[in-house]
Amino acid sequence: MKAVDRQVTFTVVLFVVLLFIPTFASQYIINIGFMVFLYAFLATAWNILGGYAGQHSLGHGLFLGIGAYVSTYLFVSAGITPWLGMWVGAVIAGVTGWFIGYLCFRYGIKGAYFALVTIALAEAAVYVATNIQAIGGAGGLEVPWKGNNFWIMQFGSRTGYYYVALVAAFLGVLLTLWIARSRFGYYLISVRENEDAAEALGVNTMKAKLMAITLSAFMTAIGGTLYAQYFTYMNPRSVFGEGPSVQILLFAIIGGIGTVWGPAVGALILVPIAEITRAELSGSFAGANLLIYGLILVLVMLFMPKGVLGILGSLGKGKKNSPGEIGHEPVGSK
Amino acid sequence: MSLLEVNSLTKYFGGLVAVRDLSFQVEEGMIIGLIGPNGAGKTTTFNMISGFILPSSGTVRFKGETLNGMKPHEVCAFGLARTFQIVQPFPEITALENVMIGAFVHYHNTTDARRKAGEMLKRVGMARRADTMARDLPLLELKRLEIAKALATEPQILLLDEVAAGLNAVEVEEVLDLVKDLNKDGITFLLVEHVMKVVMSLSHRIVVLNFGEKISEGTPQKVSHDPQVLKAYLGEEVLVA
Amino acid sequence: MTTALFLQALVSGILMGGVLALISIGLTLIWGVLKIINFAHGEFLMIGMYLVYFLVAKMGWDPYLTLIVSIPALFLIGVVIFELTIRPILKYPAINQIMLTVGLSLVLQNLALIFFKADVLFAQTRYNTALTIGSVVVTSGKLIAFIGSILATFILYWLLQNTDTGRGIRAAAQDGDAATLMGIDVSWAYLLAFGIGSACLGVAASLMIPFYYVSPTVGEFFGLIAFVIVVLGGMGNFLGALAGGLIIGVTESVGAAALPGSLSRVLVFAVFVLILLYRPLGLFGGKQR
Repeated sequence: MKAVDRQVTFTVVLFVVLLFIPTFASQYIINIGFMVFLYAFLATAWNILGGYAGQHSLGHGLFLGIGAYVSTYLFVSAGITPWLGMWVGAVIAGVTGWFIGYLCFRYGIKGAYFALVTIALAEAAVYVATNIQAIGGAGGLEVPWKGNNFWIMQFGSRTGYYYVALVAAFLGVLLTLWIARSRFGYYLISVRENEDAAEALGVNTMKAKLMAITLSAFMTAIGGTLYAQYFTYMNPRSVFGEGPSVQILLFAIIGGIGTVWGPAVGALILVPIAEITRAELSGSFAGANLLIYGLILVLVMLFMPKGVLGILGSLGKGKKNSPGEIGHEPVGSK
Repeated sequence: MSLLEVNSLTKYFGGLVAVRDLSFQVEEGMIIGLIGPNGAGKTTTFNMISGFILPSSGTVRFKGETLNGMKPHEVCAFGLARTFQIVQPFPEITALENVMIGAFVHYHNTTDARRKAGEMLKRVGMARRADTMARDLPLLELKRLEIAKALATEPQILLLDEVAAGLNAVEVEEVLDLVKDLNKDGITFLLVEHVMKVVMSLSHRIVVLNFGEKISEGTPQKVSHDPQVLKAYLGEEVLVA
Repeated sequence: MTTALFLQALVSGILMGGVLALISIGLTLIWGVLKIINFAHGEFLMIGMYLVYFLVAKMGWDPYLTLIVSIPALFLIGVVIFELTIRPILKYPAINQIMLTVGLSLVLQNLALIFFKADVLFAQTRYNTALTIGSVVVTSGKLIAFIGSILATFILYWLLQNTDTGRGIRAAAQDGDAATLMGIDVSWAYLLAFGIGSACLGVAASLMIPFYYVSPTVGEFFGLIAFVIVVLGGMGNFLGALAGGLIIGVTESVGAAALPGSLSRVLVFAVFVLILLYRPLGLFGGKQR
């Protein structure tokens, strides 16, 4: 208990410290800060489903895109502020997530199979969005600039976005801390570790997984609205596609899945690397940052299969920690 | 009225019959053994009682209510807990946390669940292992952990599936002593065993299955001298003690 | 839609479906034996297509002659990548394996983008002659691709059923431990399965070049379609993948004729979701999980 309370204190202190960064940092740093928080938040959302419940979605772009498109469409077509549209998108994404979960989980679809299904559904969303002219088709949607106005989530400088994303990431980590110490969190872990055993001990595994995917999708869509407001442009592939889906979980995987801080640590390490690479190389090489992501992913999977925090965790505990035992049956290695 | 009543339970897998027209009862406070050679349908029976598979026909009644169609987690919350033939720990969390999962059925608050789990670990003699990761525990302790997890759900009846399998003679004695103790505390047991010897000393009554059908039922003494039972076990090395 | 148009779409769909089947069979073979989904499968195909494109467009080879290069080349690429990256993580959890191959696909796709730019390349060959059968028009390239794919599929199937090596691979697919006990070199079987699964893409690349363009992202679509087909046919199910390929080929082609824009691709995924709803283990039962 105490350790967790210390973590809450630490989170709050960190939050307060980060509040002051914009007072002296350059816009470039603030930009990186925003990206770190946004991806920390998105990866945290993914982590609830992927890390705690052990259901590895490769299609979170679907929920990101729903969040981005819904709030932007409501803003463009009806003048509804993204502060409101954000929740509409989140609810739609949550329902979508619940439905996908229901389809998959009732037959025990999991592991690589679940990954396939989610990636395919996100890809289907690309084509669906491409064919809906009301949301711009393949050309995508633009968030029109209506001037610096907090009430429509538009800011004249990057600092405003920085604060919004910081609050999101802060709340995301707090939520994960709460989950990690709650019955819900233990139920998710039991599902990840051994579903039959969980059922036998009175865990409604179906309900636990459905709650995880619904919550995860809900949060991811909120991240989608922040994404849309900051980048002010989206097209079907840029939000629903494989790229963003992979990016979201990349940070969680590299930081360490199933841990409270893994996703944030992953984003903190990786976003600056990616941003610097993008700035340095994108002139000469399109796709350089995705190449870097891919390389890092391959190397981390080969040499640090539990992510950065996983490695630190096993060092700290000083226990034998055979690589890769996150609690699954090894696949293909019987 | 019996605590658990199994009536004409039947299970077909494809065209094959795994369990046929099986009926028996478990009275409160008893230890009942369910034995039979390999493939006799013991585990299938267990799975039907605990809601993991649906019977083709027949009913299971527990505390006078029918369990048919209940999900395993509902069966558990209703007071019937089970363990598995092969231990099923949650490997990447501690022993205490393993037991907490079960405790959460009745204790929704983490603090209460942790306290309950601690008591249960103590009950099975594993208090010092509370903070050890389940994956680092040896088999005997994993078996104890399974019992602690099930106990944490506060069951009225506990179904143990081959709790002695894989243990040496001394370890088997230890686990059986634990069962005896728990039974004195008022928990009813249904034990599935492949090896008769294990349940002979313990059970108040024994049900013998062969090829999915009940071939004998009675006191250990009676069952062990039943020619039907001896025939069923013929060719198996393991015989009556 | 007129009957003529429908027939045209149907035939085109069947022809393309044969190629899709061949691509998917490579994927389902790897899954069947290694229980790994290779998310870089489409990118392997892309590499094969670039290779064939350069042999055809720059060196003037006949596209079908390139088979003697594309098959061994893709086999080798598969084997090398397997040894370097996949074998070391065979015992890791599924998520690690998934993420590793996803990482590979990102690397390969973006390397291609750097080397070849985003240009869409098309090789001019003499296999664009139109053949008319009744009201239906097909190019010779597509017809050859279909026949070649079906042929390759059946040859592979025959080899798996009737050779010692093939039987070894199938034994390893069913139960690695038991196969080891029976004296089968499972580690070798894994390597072969990954190599052969990749080599299928070499065949597909050579067959597709006369009528399909090449770009760094061409593999993305085919990889995804192959996933759909493999799920449709039942993961690890060889003939299921063949049927799945034809079904998806026809669905896409007829859908494209009937629906505006790229909605036919939505149709493909809609079929996928329907299958999940009603036949989650694939149309033919399947044996996954």
